[in-house]
Amino acid sequence: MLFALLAMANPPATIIAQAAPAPLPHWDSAVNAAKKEGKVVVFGPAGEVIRNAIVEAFKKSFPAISLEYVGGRASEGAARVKVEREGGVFSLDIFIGGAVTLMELGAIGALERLEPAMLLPEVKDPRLWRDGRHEFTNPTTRFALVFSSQPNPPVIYNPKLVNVAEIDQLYELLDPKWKGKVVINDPYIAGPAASLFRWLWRTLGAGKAADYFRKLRAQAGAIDRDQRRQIDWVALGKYAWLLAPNNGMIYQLAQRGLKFGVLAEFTDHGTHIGTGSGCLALMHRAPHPNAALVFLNWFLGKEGQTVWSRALHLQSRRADVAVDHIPPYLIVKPGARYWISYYEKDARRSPQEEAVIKELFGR
Amino acid sequence: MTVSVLVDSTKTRFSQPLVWRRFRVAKLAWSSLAALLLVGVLAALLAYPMVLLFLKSFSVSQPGQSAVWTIQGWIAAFSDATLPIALGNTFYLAALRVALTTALAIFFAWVVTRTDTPFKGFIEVALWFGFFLPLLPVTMGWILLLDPQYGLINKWLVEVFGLAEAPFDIYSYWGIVWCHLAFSTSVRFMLMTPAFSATDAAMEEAGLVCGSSRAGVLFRVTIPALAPAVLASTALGFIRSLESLEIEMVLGIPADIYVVSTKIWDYLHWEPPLYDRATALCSIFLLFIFLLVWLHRSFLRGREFTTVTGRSHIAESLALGRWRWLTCGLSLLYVCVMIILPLLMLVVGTFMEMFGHFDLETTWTTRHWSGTFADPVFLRSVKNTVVLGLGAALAGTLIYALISYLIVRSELPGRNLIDILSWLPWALPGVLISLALLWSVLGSGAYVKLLYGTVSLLVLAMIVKEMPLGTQIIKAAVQQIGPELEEASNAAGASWLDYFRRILLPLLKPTMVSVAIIVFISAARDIPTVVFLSTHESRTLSLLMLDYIAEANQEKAAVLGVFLVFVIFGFLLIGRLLGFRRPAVR
Repeated sequence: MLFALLAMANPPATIIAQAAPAPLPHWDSAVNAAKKEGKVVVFGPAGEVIRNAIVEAFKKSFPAISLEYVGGRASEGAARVKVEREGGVFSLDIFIGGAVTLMELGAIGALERLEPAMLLPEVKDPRLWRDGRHEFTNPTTRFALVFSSQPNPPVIYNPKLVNVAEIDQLYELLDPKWKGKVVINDPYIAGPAASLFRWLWRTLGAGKAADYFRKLRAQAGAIDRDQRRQIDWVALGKYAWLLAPNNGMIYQLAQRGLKFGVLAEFTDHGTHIGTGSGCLALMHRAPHPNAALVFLNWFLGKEGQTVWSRALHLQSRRADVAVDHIPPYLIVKPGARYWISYYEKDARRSPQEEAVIKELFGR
Repeated sequence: MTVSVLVDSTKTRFSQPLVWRRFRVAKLAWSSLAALLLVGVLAALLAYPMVLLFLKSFSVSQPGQSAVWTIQGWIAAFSDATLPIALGNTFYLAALRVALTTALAIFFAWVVTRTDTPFKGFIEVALWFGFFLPLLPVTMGWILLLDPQYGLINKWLVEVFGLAEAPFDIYSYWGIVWCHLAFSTSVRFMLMTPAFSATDAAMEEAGLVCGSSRAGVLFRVTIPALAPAVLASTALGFIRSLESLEIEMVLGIPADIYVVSTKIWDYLHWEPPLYDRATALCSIFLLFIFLLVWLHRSFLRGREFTTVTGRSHIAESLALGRWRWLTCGLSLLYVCVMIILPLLMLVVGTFMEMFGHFDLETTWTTRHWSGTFADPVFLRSVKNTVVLGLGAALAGTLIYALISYLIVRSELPGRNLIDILSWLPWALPGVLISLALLWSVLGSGAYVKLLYGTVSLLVLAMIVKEMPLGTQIIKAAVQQIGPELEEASNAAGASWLDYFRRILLPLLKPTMVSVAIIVFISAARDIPTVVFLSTHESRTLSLLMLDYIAEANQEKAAVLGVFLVFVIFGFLLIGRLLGFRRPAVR
């Protein structure tokens, strides 16, 4: 009771219930209505750099609309959305996260179709996006727009211990000379390694992939989950190479002075493209529907995408956003063939694949 | 020699004057109402979220859909072939930790409160610091020293003694126990010290007069007389050890040492999270808690452990003679190795561009400090953290004291249920407590929903989370206080509130201060328990740490850890200046 009284004295910003959404307005009227709503609530990846970059840039463009950025793990954000909706609470306007998370939210009816909300010509026009199209994780439901995607370098290595030519083909990783000297990012849980192993499964086929995974597991000196420490280990020479590093992290740590080499792709099998947290969705029954539209169109425009890209050093799918600040191994090469990991149809492991991964990496 | 204080409690219960017994009957109606109210509040706070969580673990329905019930999650969790190994590791590590920390904590509590060991004030403060140190950055420091490949101590030993291989491997069972030692010992020390202080030295003197040695008095008089405090802190330590996660994640996984809590973490970090399986595994903790509560109650049933009575209290320290230099030397050695060394490593680490990398172009920097303080959300996070910490510490400690009093002193039906309920929050990891509270708050009426998004809800969550610790430790302290003090207070015409405010609370003050500080620190550092409940406005420093860790900037997270150490130390100093100090031992 005491706490309820305290809360009533200082009511939270959360909107308890919302009426059904009004018809979508045009840009100018949306901006005016958004100013009256006063704020927009966005869920996105945790991190000081991305939080401050987005909040400050949006404030400059729309000083009358305050941006509440809730950073966190996307799967926890989705779990929270589910519980909120069960309790009739609608606190989020926009969700920025990974493909699998947004697939979950779409399945419970928490998302709106995105295209009707794309008001500005520079956002609507598919020619301004890579490959001349808007990319959705599910082309039928069209809830989650992939606004950022990049190749995932499969391996980083210590140049003092490894000549890159020794590991630039997939099966070279199984050379007995590496036994016990390498670290593998754990594919058992969600993350870049799960995506890489799924790519290998699809590329090699079930039989070959299971055999490859077994041999790879036998090579490992360590299976680890701490994505910074794995990179530390390689830079310090504790292990010769790391399979499936976190691509955002390798650039951040390289910027801070860590020395290691990056294998951008296997010369024989290429690599896979992922989206990380690069998908955006509009929440169904958003508490600030007009402010949500304003943020969405600003963020998917050149300005918003430049802010995102510069903060995280990841490539936008917008064709007009510069890439000069991005390392070459994180830029999609035109014409190159990549396996795309973010489509909903490929998001889940098959039961057979799951069983093999669990047998080898589940502990 | 048998302990003089172990007497049959029935003697005191039925030897009271008739007038007093009538008075108690009249008072019973009010007390019953109060107890019922408390049971209701606890049921709403503890049992309801937990029941909800366990019920949800059998449901696979989505919002807006009708419920579909299944035991699939439970079957999947318990049919995991590696679970028995994880269980074995969990209990092995917990047993090792508890055995070591119990011995160390008893030793230090005895040294600081019952002996004339030199520098004992410094030793006490240093041991408190051991609790303030943030676990993960300190573990990083130990890795830098004891990694078998690049650990500085290992390299030095190999070089100096010409060893073939590094003598220490931090990624091992002993490495895990070692990294837990300072923190766990300090907590146990903080929880036991007030009880040691409250022991009447007359009992120890009687032991010495009867011809027992000093060690004999320690093991046959002092420790048995403190059984409730020692047992409660051991039980709490054991349960905490079973649930322990961070260090096991960092050191255990590279060495293939999995425990139940890391398996639960796996399920929570699945995409989407498998809350049903995680909840199923938590039932292991729940069963173990019930077993431990039963053992604890069986041991204490029918005995009294009163050490604070209406008689004058002798708190004379034991003269150790020349042995006092041995106790001093051992204590200082522990403090230097386990607390000062990691603290130094932690502070040094915050000034390195990247912790442990001495070969970078820019090795040393102050940018982590300046960057942290320049973060636009820093000040708001500090404010929220202080409000959360103080709110949970003050309200929580008072609530725990009330509950403890009801459990120990009242004879009302339902008090056993309260006792059992108070243990429940430690059956769940913080993330699940957070989720369960979110379900409870959002599934309740519109007024309760108003709590969502406020710091008040975080305060409530932390009070719930730390209820086992707060209640059990204060309960042990209440057991030390003789019932005749309340009887005398009543006979003198004082109301129950007067007794509670002017007699019980001052006597419990040292224990309550310890509990309040532990709750404050826990609230300030906790990430999982607040992760579902905090919003943009109620963000705390611990969530700011999460931001830094997400960007692989553990150095900035360590800055916040060090900053919190100084904030907490500041509060401690203020507390001491305001008179909240453990009674000095003469």
